[in-house]
Amino acid sequence: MSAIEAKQYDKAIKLLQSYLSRANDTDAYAENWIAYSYRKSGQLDQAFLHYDKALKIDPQHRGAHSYLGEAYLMAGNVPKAEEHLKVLDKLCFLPCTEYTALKKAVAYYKQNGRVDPAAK
Amino acid sequence: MLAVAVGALALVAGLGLALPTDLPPLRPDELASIGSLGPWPPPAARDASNRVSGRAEAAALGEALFHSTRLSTVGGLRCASCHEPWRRFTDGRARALGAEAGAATRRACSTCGCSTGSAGTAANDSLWSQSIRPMLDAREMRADAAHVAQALRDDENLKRLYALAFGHAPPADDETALVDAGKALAAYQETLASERTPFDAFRDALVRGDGAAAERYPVAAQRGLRLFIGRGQCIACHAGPNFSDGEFHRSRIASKLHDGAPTAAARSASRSCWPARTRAAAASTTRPMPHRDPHRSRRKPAPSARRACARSARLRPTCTTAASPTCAMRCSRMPRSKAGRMPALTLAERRDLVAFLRTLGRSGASGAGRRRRDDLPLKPQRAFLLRLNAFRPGEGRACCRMVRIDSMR
Repeated sequence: MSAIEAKQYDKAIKLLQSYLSRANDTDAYAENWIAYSYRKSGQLDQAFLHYDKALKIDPQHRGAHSYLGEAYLMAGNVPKAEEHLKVLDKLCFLPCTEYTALKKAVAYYKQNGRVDPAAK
Repeated sequence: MLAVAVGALALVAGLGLALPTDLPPLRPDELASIGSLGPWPPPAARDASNRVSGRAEAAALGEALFHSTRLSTVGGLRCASCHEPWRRFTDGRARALGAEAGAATRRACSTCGCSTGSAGTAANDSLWSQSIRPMLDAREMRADAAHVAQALRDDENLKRLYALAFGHAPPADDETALVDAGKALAAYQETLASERTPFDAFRDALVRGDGAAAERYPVAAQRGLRLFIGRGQCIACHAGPNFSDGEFHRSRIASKLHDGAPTAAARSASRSCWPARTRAAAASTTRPMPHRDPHRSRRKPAPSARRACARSARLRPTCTTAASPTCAMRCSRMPRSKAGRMPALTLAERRDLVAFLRTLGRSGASGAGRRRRDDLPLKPQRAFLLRLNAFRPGEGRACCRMVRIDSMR
């Protein structure tokens, strides 16, 4: 986590890969974080792969839905991002940060045609 | 006090009598039919037309390709966009998103269980050729051979995985690279198998002769199973471990407009794909006749009854096996041919059939009260209302499906 917070994504990916090789597809949070690291380091295909793994482990993982929506925005696929926004709407009984963040990101993308550079 | 106890005993006895737990023993032909619906998962089989079938390295390349956006010319579109792993490799839509909204004309079928041959369509007779089709379709991934080959040559990760799978660098010939990508995708999809179900436990117990284990299978499901293999004749098409014979069948039910009128394709198919000789043959049997003809590209093989909920686009958020009532309704009405018309099923029989179909899902009937993790939940208050409205004593999780059946009468 500290590597991700320090934006040392390559280091975070190595550490998380080492952990995931032992976790054997059981930790959705770790998959989500390695996907986040891949996404932030510009490796979108790897990010998609690990977001899918995170959601396969836990289909109700709000963070993975939110970040996967943002990854789709980065790839220019707005309909899929909106689909994940709908999923989050169902998952969040009360407004949740994941839903709000993705909603904001989609709105920004629609207005400006690009991803919000300030987005987390 | 004594009167109360006697009354309670009488009630229990009465309930006991009311429950049809005394099903007649299965006949040898019924046992053989049930035995033919397994084992599950089936033993791994190599695709003879795919030289990398069954190879872990090819499956790794296929997995990378399956999740890659590089195979498509449309931004952010990949195989997994429509075949989402967390939704059992489908997307829960009646029509897939495709290249743009409204462009796709097909539903994204689950790629899970492809090794059993259920994924083939009329247009492609192998999994690897079927895997190529969406890449080249202008309504879907809108790519061509050159684009796919370029992706294999340019992307460092794909290039490395390709060399591991095929033993050499991506070829210069675009067509060869495209076919290899299809074969790697097929090798990956062959590794995706659906999980064992309560029915499989029952079937295996029967084959072993383990009566105690077989008794755990719900009675309603047992009655539904008897209908499935008996009077309902569902097994005529939904045969074998994957509940599909892989053949192409005439089905007007699947080709109807909303008002019940057959589509132009169905009318044409009825005329040209159902020649008099076949019609005469059908007169002597109620089994739907498989046909192979130039029009077969319009058809699909009998869909597997396994994972029925994964294929249902409209209803899956509410019901774990939402397709089952629809399927039961179809089963009770088809086929409509003069010779082969089946007796309509009663409401109770439809319920039994649904109870059986539910046991073909992962948690099945034995998972009463448990929510499947890969089904999207409803908002809690709506889910509660659905359960409340649909509650029928003694039917457990079948409730929400029953409501739909009632409304469809």
